[in-house]
Amino acid sequence: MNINTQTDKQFDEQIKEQLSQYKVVPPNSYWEKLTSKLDTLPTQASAPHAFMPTMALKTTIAIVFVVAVGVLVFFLVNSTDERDNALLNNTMPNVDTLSTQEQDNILKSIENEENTTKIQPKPKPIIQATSPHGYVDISKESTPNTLIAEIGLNDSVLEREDISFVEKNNENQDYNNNEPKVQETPKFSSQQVIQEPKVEENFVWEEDKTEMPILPNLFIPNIITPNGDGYNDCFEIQGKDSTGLNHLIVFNGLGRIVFEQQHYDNNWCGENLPDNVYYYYFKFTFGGEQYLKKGSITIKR
Amino acid sequence: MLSEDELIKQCKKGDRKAQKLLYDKYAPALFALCQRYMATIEEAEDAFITGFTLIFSKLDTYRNEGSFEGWIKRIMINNAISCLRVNEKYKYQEDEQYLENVDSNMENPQQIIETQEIVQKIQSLPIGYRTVFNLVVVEGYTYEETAKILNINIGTVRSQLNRARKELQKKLKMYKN
Repeated sequence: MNINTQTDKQFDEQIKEQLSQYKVVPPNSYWEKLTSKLDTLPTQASAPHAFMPTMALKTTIAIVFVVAVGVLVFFLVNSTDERDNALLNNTMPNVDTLSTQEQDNILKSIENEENTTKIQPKPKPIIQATSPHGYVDISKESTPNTLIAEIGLNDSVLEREDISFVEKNNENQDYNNNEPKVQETPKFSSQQVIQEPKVEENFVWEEDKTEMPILPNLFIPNIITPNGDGYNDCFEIQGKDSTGLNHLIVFNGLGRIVFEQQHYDNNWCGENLPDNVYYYYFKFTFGGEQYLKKGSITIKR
Repeated sequence: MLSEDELIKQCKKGDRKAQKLLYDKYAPALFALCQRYMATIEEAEDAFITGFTLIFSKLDTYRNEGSFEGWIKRIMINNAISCLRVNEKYKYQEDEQYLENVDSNMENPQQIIETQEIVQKIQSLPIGYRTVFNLVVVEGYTYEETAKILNINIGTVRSQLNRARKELQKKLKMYKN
């Protein structure tokens, strides 16, 4: 090998070797900060043998839970209107009484609902091209039996032509007194169509799974902990184009809007809202294109 | 003197003295690691402390199989990458053509470079170059593993690595101008 040239491999090895020996003793203050964090952790089990039953118990609970969820989902998907009605009315009262799972299931059943009614000249239900879920919102025309799906932002409606919904027979409507109250959404009324949101091929809409995946350009947390500790206290969307337009809507599992802002500035911290799972639509421009991102955001103090 | 397994067991119980011993043992290498990944000392401190918090809080999931050092290192790396995601804009130059891995002609092949200087130059790299370089060259992950960790294409890994290397060599003045 020519003594005057060094291959990339040698360079890599040299760097690797030097860096693997590299050590820096951190200042004492780091340990202090660490211990104060450790103090806030839940205490661990004290006896080694206690670990075994805990793990087995956790596994059992997890399995039972998954089975229960499976049964519940199956039940909801195949439910009749009567069941839907009953389910909605029974679990309606207020957000606090809905468990996270029930809310998820309700939202899922709403999204899977095939019996939405088209009322002239209301907008048609919308499906976003790359999301595994449909985009469905509950309009003010909705009743327990007739969920009308629509979505729109800024007086425009995103539409997809090849979706058609079966017209539903409205004979056996039975409106109970406690039908769900849905938020008035005056913005969602126009039928003007704008371009379908396009998503770049390499764009990955992964929601944060705490450790692994990385969004190339946009990072949206799926949980905020507004407890004043300075970590994740507010809903911060990182990487959004600060010069572009954006529009954030947050709503609860019943479709009621709990927060909305255009030109969102990372300053929503879930004030006056109970710990729960909420959902957001985030519309934004990036590189000249419009995108619409849907996801869930959990508030847990 | 406690064996490491004994030490870990004590740490799981929340024994502060044991935790301090474990910390003293691994902190220098892990803090050095954080410095490599993050661009500033403040971010390195933050990544280091949150990473160690994670390590201690996840101790009961460690099964005493395989290397403990490798396990904690992996947690620290994952946490550093998470911190990068939050603090810095992640950008991969995907529009440029990806370069073939060409051997570089360098002056002074056996030049002595201060390790500290290497770290500083790595810190000054753009985030994409820095992270890929750290994972592939220093940590030793394969292209596939790196692509999976960062959720990018293998081609991107390769191109980022090549550019990182060139950039680093330039910064370390290993090129004839």
